[in-house]
Amino acid sequence: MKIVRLIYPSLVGGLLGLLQTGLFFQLAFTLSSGVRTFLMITVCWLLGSAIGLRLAKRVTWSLNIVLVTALLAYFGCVALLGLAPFNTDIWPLYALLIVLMGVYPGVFFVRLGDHYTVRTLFFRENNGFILGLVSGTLFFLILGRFALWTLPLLVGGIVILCTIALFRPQDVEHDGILFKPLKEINL
Amino acid sequence: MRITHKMADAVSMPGRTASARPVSAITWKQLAPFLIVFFSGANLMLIQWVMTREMTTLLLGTELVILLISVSYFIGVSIGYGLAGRITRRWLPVLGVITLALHLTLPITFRVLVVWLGAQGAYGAAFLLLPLLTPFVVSMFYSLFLPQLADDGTAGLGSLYLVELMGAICGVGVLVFVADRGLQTVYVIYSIGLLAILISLGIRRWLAGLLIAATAAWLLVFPLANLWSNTLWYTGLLGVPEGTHILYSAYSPYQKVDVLELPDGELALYLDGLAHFDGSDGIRLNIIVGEIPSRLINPQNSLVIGAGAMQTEQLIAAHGGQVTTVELDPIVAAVGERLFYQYNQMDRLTNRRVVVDDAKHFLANTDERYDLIVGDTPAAFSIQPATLYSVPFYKAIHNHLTPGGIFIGNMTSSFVPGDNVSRRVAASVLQAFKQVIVITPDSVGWSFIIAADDLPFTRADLEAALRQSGETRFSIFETAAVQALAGDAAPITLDSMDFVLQTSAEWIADRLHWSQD
Repeated sequence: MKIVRLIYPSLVGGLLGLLQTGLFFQLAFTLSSGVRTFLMITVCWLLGSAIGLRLAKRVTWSLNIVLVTALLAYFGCVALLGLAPFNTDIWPLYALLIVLMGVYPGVFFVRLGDHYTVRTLFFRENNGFILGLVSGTLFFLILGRFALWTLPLLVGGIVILCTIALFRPQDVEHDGILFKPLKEINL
Repeated sequence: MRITHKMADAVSMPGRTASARPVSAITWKQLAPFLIVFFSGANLMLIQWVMTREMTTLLLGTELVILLISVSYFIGVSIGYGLAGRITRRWLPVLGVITLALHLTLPITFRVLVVWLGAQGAYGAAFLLLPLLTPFVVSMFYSLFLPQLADDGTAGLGSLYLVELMGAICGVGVLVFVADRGLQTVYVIYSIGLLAILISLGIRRWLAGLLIAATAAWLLVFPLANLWSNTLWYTGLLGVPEGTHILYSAYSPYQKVDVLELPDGELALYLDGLAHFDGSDGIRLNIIVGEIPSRLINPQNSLVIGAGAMQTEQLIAAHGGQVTTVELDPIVAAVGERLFYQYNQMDRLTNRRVVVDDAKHFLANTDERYDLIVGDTPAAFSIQPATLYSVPFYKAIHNHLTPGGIFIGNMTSSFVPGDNVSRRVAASVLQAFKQVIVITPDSVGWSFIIAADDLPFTRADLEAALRQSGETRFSIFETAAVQALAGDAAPITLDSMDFVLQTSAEWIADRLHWSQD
């Protein structure tokens, strides 16, 4: 369990790196590689995170539900690109989906900030993000878009399992302060 | 709440305690951490933009270079997070002042460093040195604050991070609305942010005044220093002749754009440090993709994908038809129109128009058909240009040709048995068109591909057109020969971009020994 606790923020960072890389490549390929696309991704992701920060302690959604929503939003973008390639008229729909994706990191940081020092949390998450960025790019170059669809699913699945494992009530007894009961911390 | 000078004094001047004016002091103390993280978020965006453009140019960007730079930048962020709380607060202003000096001189110092390495025959060392310096010089400083302020209980993580994100969004806004006014303007805003951080950290009043004066003085001379170092980079490292002047230099949303006036009066266009148009030396390429097809089919409606000097368009427009250019980068389109008119006659021709758009998006959203489509796109050293050599893109081109219309594209290397890139480009074009011809004129040194379902000219017509335009030595491969030479080369698709990795690695390997050559 200690190793899971150690790598958990990095796994989330890796997932976020993969999602961002996947978004950038796929939107640039089949929506537009114009600067507006990059702006939309950046600003909407940041806005989503800001919303997530505000929502984190106000709503009782579990972290896994927010993550699944982010993954659904990611694949919503993929599906839209397949259904209506290069259709920039529906950019508000993409923007909304990206905002939904951005909510996850916002909620994640606030909730996990109760269980790690902020320094440790951001350090580990950012290291994972770098790995996600590199692996997303390299695996895409080697395997194609298959990597951009499967890797987020794979890492997202692992994150979900880790979240469940880390915050099971029976672990709480051993770990006392570090991990509070599931319901109490809204994970 | 408005911050008065007196409130700032309470923080910055020793001997005045918070208890002397509790309300003001508490207010400032509450606000200062948020100012710090707000401007940290904004400045991280701004300096990332400057660093990415400049380092991509200095290392002559490819996909691997872009990845290396991004990783290097984010490692700096990690180092900052790791060090947060371990650096005592009294050292933070010192680090801030060093950061101010390093960042405001960043393009200049990095250029001088790389030129110096080149002069020592060690240009390749830049691929190691710059990524090693970047984390400490560029991105570390700003990521120290958020974890430190949150962990020491100054404010909640949610509030601090929210303000930092707002700062980041404002940083993006500055780039969107102000970046086209030049680096000096961006640096003015950047400096205000960093000075605000230093004041929020509680530096002495005299020091703040001194830093503001020094920064203002530097920013006044910055354009001259920037121009000098840019010229040094081109003449000292790229071998551009002494006496060359930089007419224009800017960071666009996509790349660094430089327009050079060579000593003989010719103009050159460099994108991310790579020659895109090099005075009259580049005219042969434009003749092949512009003049030759125009002689053969006399197009009434043509599309050129990719701008630059836009001489190709002039060569086509001279035959009388309408010519449209589609270019992704608005700055490249603008300099092409404004500065290269001696090559493209944009100031006189009325049958020309320029559309700023992604070519893939443009083709997917237009019903127009063209007699001639020219692919004048950069080499596929990174993923985005590589998509312009893919089967889906060639199919989109195919679908926008009139009956009897043709496509001509630059293969960016010689179509020979050992050349993987040109063979894959040929294999991709063969997926979209029934007839394909590859020509390799000696005057250019690499190959061009012409394609249609039913080519409206014969090989003899093509040979005659090449000779009429001054080509004396060239080779021509017709469809069967192209198919044979392409052989089992895999067509380029959005799912088979591995060649970008290969070309990128080869390009870097070549550059590692560059200045020794």
